[in-house]
Amino acid sequence: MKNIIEVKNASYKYIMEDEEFLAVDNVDFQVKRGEFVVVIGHNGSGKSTLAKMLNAILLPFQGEVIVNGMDTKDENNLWEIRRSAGMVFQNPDNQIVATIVEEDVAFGPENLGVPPEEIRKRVDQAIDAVGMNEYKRKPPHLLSGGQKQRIAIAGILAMKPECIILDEPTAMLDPAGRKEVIETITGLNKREGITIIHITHFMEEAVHADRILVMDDGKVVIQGTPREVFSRPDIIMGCGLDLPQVTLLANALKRDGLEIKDGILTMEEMVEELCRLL
Amino acid sequence: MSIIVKNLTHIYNPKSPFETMALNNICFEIEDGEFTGLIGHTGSGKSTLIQHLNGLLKADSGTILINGLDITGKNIKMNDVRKKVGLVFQYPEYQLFEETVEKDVAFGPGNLGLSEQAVHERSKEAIEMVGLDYEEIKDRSPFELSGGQRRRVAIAGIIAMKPEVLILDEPTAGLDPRGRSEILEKIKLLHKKYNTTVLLISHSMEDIARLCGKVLVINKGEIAFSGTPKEVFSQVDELESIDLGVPQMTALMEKLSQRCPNVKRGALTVEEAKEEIMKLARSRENA
Repeated sequence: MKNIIEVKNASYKYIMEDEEFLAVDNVDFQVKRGEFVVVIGHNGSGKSTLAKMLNAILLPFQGEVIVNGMDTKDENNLWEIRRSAGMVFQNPDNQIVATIVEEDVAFGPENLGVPPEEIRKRVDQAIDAVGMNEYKRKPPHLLSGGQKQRIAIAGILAMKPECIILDEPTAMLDPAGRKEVIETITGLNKREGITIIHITHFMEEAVHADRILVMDDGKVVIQGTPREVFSRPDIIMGCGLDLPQVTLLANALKRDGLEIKDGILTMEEMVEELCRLL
Repeated sequence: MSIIVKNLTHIYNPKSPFETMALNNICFEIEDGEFTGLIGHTGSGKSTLIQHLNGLLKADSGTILINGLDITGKNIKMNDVRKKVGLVFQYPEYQLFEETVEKDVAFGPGNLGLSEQAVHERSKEAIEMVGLDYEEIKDRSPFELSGGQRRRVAIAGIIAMKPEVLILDEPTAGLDPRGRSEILEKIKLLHKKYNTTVLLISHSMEDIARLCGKVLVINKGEIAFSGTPKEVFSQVDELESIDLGVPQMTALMEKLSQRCPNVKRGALTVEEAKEEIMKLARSRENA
C-alpha cells in the first residue's frame, strides 16, 4: 500500500434547517506514505471539513475516503483509523485533558487498551520525540502555546500513528511557538517517516512541503510542489491567499529588470541568488 | 487621545503561593492619534497590560493617564473610560450573541443613552466601516457568517461606540491572508479618518512593521525596549533572545549583509528590500 490516504471523489455537505451547504465538493487526491502535504485555502474554503473527513470525524455523503486501506464509512474501522491518522487542532487549550503532561500523553494509548508497561515506554518516547522531557511532570496550564501543541502532538505519537493531520496548529501561537511546532512536525516527518498533512494560513510554512493542495469553494483547485503552486500567483491571489514574502520580492525585482532566476521560495535560495547577482 | 502609563505594576494572586508579578513597573507614552504596536511572546503580559487601559483590571500600583485623567484614581466612573477606550479581545467573534448583525453591533451604542436614530446611524456606519454591505448583512444572523465576516461584525460593535482609543488584541489571528489584510486596511482607514489612537497587538512582525509608527516590546511583564519599527527591528539578537523575531525582509537583508558586506540592513517591507537591492544592482552595472 503506497498511499496512506486516498480520497476518491468525496463530497460533504452540512445540512441546516432549510438549506444545505456543500463544503467539500468532489475532491480527489492521494497522499503517499511519508509525504509532507500542506493544504492552504481561505477561511470557509473547506480545509477543516476535509481534514475531519480524513479521520472519520465526518463521513462523505458521496465518494470514499480510505485511510491506511480502511474505508472511513465502515464503523468497525473507526478506532483503527483514528489510531493511524491522529489530529491536532488549532486551539492548544481545547485538546489537553489531564492535569500532568505525561498523563495527558498517556490518554490515547490508555483508551486503546495498551498494557501499562508499554504505555510507559510509548509516553517516554513520544515526549522525547517532541523535545518536552523536562516538562513531563508539569501541569499543562503552565506551558506556552507552542509547548501545549507539542504535547498534543506527543499524545498522538503515543498511539503510533502513520499519519498526523494538523488543522492550523500555529494560528494562535507567537513566532517562537510557531517555529517550535514546525520544527517538531518536520522532524517527525524526516526522522520517523510519519506522514504529515498540515493546514495553514501562513504561506511561509508551505514552502518546505513535498506537495501543496490549494482549496477554494470546497474543491482542490491546484496541487503540486511549492515551486509549481507559487508560480501561479493568478490562482493563489484569486483564492484570497498570498505568495511567500520572498517570492513577492523576487517577482518585484524581476519587474524592475533584475535577472533573477525563477521559483525562489526560501530565504536561503534568495540569499544565494542575490550574492551571485550583486 | 493620549495614554501615559507610569510605574504600572500588577500582581496576580498576591500573598499566595501562586503570586506572580504580571506587570513590573511599566512606563510608556502614546500620543494622541498615534498608531502603536505591542509585541511580546505568549505570557509576556500584553493582554494583562491592555486590560488596565480601560479599567478591566486594577493596578496594584502606578498611574494610567488617559487624556490627562488618572483612571486609577478614586471616584473615576469606569463607564466613561470604557466609552472612550474600546477594547477588541482575541477572537472577538465568540462574543457575538444577538439575532441579527445590526442588533449585535447596536448593543454597545444602545447602552450609551443615545436616541434610536443615533444608534441606528452609528451601527450602519460601523458596519460599512469594516467593509461589509449594510443592506445585505444587517438582518442576517451573525452565526451564519464566515469567520472573517464574524470577526468584522465584532470589531464593528466596538467601532460603533466611537472610541477615541482603539485597542486590538491580535485581530487577525486565524484569518486567511486576504481576511488579514482587509481587516488591517480598515483599521488603518479608521485611524486616518477619525484620528483614532490605535494600539495593536500582533504576532506578525510584518504587519507591525508596515502599520505602526511606534513599537513597544514587552517581556516578562516589563517594557524591554521601544521605538520606531526601524529602531526596534534593528535589534535582531535582542528580539530573538526574548522569543520574538523580525520581519522576514529584515531577516533576509541581515543574512544577505553577512555574505555581501555592501548590503545595507534595516529594510522592513518587500518594497524597501527591493529598493535596496535594485540600488546595489544598478551601482554594479554602472561600475
